[in-house]
Amino acid sequence: MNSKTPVVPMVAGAIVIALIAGVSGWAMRARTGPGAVSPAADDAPSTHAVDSTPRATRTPPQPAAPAMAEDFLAMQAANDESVSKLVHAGKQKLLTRYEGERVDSAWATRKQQALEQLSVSPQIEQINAQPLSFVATCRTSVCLIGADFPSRVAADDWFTLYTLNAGPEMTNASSERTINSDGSVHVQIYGLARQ
Amino acid sequence: MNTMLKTGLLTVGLGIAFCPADAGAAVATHLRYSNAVNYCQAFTPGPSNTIRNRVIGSENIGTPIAVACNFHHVLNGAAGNTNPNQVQVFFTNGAAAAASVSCTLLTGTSGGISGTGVQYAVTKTVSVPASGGANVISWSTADNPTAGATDLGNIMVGVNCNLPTNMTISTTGVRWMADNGV
Repeated sequence: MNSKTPVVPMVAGAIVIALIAGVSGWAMRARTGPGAVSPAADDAPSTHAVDSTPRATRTPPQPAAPAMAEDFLAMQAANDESVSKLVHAGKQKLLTRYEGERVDSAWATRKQQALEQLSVSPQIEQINAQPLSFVATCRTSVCLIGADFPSRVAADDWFTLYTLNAGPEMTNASSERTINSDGSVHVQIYGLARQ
Repeated sequence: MNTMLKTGLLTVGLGIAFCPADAGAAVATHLRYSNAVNYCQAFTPGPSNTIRNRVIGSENIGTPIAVACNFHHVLNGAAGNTNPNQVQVFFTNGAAAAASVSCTLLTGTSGGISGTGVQYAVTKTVSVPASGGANVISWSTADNPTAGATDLGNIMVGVNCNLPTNMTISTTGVRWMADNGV
């Protein structure tokens, strides 16, 4: 064995060390650069979780952070698509259930009357969002509601307030707003009115 | 050879020393609570609005009124960032009698002026004890009708509440998953 330090292995070792240190340093800088996660105080991971959801689990990537207005619009469009799927899934559940049900006459009559009474309220009248017509048809647990309005604004205002008024009677509901041939607006609701 | 061995060990040691820089990174629960004043307002602002925005929350001093609340969500661009998976609305009852309050989580698209607008609503009701009693309404992934949903299916969630007389929405909360920034 030669007791003198060999030059080639020393140089090679130094290069390897420099490479590792350089890559590691670059990686660390990348994590603190623009776009990296840097939670502010109010965004910090909470220590007050209200349920037993795992505190540190890997989940699939979801929405990307939009950097520009165009990105945000694209994200919004993707979100609308996701929301439409959610609403469709909700409607299908209620529609399928409604179509498979027989009519519980006594319950259905009471529920239809209750739902109709809740279709108007002081606040609905205050903003002039009363329906032109209102029909509720209940079966065993799901009700189908049809209501017409003079305008889209009246229809949207009414639906917002109606879900609050009728919510205790009909906990889950799916609605669809369409335009009638005469220009008036129709709102169709499938609602779960019995658990 | 001895020197090569030492150099190799030094390299491994340096590598290990740099590795822990990323070892704490994980996707964690994030919760944001706020005074409801920040995120809730009367559905119909104006002279008929009987909502009082106080530092302890938004109180309705008139007849029952609809209030709309939005929730502030944060996207950080890192893997594992989800839509909100839980929202909460907290109430305090300033009346002498217990009162029930109903809120609706509303998810949908407007469809514009002539398009088809679709919405899905989940309404919950709680009783709030009299004289300063408190209660909370909470929505979670179980309220998303999509099978196997892991969030509320919407980036920007919103809730409407029918606020009885002297009921205060004290706090709103929203939860989501995101990189912990380590």
